[in-house]
Amino acid sequence: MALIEFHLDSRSGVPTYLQLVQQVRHAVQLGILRPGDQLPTVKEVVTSLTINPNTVLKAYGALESEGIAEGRRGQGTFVTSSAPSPLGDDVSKLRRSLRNWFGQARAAGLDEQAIDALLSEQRGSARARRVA
Amino acid sequence: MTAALETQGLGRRYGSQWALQGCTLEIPRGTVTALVGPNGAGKTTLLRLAVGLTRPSAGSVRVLGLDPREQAAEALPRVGFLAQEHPLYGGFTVDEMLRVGRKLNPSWDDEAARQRIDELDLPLGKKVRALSGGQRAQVALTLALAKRPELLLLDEPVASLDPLARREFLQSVVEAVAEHELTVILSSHILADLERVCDHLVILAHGRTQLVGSIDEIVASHRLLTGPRDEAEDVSRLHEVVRETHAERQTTLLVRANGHVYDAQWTVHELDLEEIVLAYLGQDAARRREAVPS
Amino acid sequence: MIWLSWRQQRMETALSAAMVVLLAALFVPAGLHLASFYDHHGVAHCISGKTLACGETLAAFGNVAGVLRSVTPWLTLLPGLIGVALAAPIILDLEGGTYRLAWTQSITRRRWIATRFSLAVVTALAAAGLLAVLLSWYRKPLDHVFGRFDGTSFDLEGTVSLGYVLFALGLGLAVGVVLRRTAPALIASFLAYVACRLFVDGWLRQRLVTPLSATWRGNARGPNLNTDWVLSSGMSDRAGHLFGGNFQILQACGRVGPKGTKLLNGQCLARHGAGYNHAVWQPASRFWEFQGIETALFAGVGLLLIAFAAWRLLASD
Repeated sequence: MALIEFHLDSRSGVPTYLQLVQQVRHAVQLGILRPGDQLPTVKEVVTSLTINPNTVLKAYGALESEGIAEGRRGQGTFVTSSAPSPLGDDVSKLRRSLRNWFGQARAAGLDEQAIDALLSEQRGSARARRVA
Repeated sequence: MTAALETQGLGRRYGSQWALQGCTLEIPRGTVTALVGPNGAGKTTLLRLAVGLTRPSAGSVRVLGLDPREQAAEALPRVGFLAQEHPLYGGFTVDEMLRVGRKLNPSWDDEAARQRIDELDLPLGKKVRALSGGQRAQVALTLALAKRPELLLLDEPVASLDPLARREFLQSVVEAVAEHELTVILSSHILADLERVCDHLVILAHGRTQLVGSIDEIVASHRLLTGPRDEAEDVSRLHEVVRETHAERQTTLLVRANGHVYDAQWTVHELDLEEIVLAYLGQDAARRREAVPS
Repeated sequence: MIWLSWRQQRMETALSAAMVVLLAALFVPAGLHLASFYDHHGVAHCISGKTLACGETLAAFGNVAGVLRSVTPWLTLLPGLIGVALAAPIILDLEGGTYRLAWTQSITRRRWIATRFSLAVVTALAAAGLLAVLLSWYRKPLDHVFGRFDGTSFDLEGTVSLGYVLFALGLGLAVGVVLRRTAPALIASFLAYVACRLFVDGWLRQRLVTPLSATWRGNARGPNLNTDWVLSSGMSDRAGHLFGGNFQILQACGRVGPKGTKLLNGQCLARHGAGYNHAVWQPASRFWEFQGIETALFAGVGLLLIAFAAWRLLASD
């Protein structure tokens, strides 16, 4: 049985192989995948998502060049020991501060839509700053 | 390595009408190609020419380097074909259909075929005409796959299927591609069916190829440019304009870029595949309208 | 491919077999009955002599067949039905588009055509052959009396059925391959079969070989033509021109003789130009010659039609 399961957002505009790369990266960051764990086989991914096998190969190839995963001939693709370690403490800290922030936002009178708008605005500008 | 499918000026005429003409393309091995175009575009004609059911009126066609008619004995065992109506013998049981495959194909993998039928829960003793559309499609696909072809040609394979059957059918196809070294060409008049599954594209309209290439390359090279109306000509000198639309002050160009597009005056957008395909089909339609004297 | 061909013509083969079995069930008991009557009533002796008792024996003999007598003339349509029926599975395959399945497996188009057609031919010949054997056996006693050139007998015995069935099969295939519609093709083929058979039976056959003829005096004994195929016979003049049959002359020259039989005055007739008898016939000894010609004719055309259908399919799109 595969360790993780991928999902596809066909409307996001993000190429399929990139979505797979991101999901593996996140799984590693969140500690769901640890060094030495095997990524789902090409056939498993293809069966569950009904996508082109070359797309999976491209994603795994990208992960390999990022150093997150490595292919072992005849065995599959595995998370490398040099993959970024899970954020662990950082994640718990971030989670706590996010919970606090939500409490503050609601106390200030923001409803769900306002919170969403605020989040999108900040996320967008963060991304734009990164690209430039 | 020889291409999976190679055509040179291929054409087929019925009476005075050309169902396909001037078709020159090359589809590499190991790809899954979407053959897209409206009804009557020539998709079925192209696939039938590839498998030797039809004879060319002009030009040539080669599958796996072989002439599908002259070298049929060599080519047929290596090419799987699934015609549009999923032809099966209605009065035969599923078991008898497998027997047909075994008797007519020396490279038939009976164990794999039966395993597949089993996994899909298809009743061996049931007559084909009593099966649902999705079940028939799966039996027909089993027949095409179990002879272990190198190239699989599917003519509108999911057009008549409900969404679930459609998904299951395509799932079977990509699984087969993942397991064996299989090149697939599927035709459809609906791109959405095929987008997830294909990495190559051939657009056909009115018997002519409009665009051929790898999907990644196509998406990477096509851009939507919006900018001032009078600058349009400069762009068209550098890049191939596929579609041009004008508002009073602004022009929108869909181009196939020759290199990067540098110009502060133009806003550059990326495009998804469907928009690109529609632009090419629309271009063909516009050209036809111009050609018709008013 | 052989298994597939059998499986696809399963129903038509069964129908042909059923026809043969049904006819055997009818004709075997009847044939045995006929043969035993022939032996026990000394019909053989009656053929040569013509006594009054013999006349009754022969009449009784002719009636032994009973109801089957009215059935036998229609049996000559059977090779037509069988031949056309065996073309049906192939035409259905073409009409329904399922031939595309077979032509995109691993066998060549040539092999598909050769196997399907050969099996249809073999089945057709087997069915027609069995029918011919059955009916020839049945008709043996009748043939001794009435000859094999008898209207229905010739069509059912010998080798002609083989030619007929090949012809019908060829028609079915040729028309079907061109039309690609099963029902119209089968109907058209069967009608064409009937038309050609009528033409050959009624007009062509007698003209294939020059017949024999003879003229003899009215009161003399003419040749024994019981088992021959008589094309025409009747009163004539000395030169052999058949007498038109003027009723009044017959009235004038006729008289009632002893025992109440009607007699014609020979001299009176001669004066009116009708004192002789004339007959034109094909002798029974020519039976196999005619069988050979007609079989070759129908089989030859049939095989040509089959070859045409094969060629058309090979070249088709």
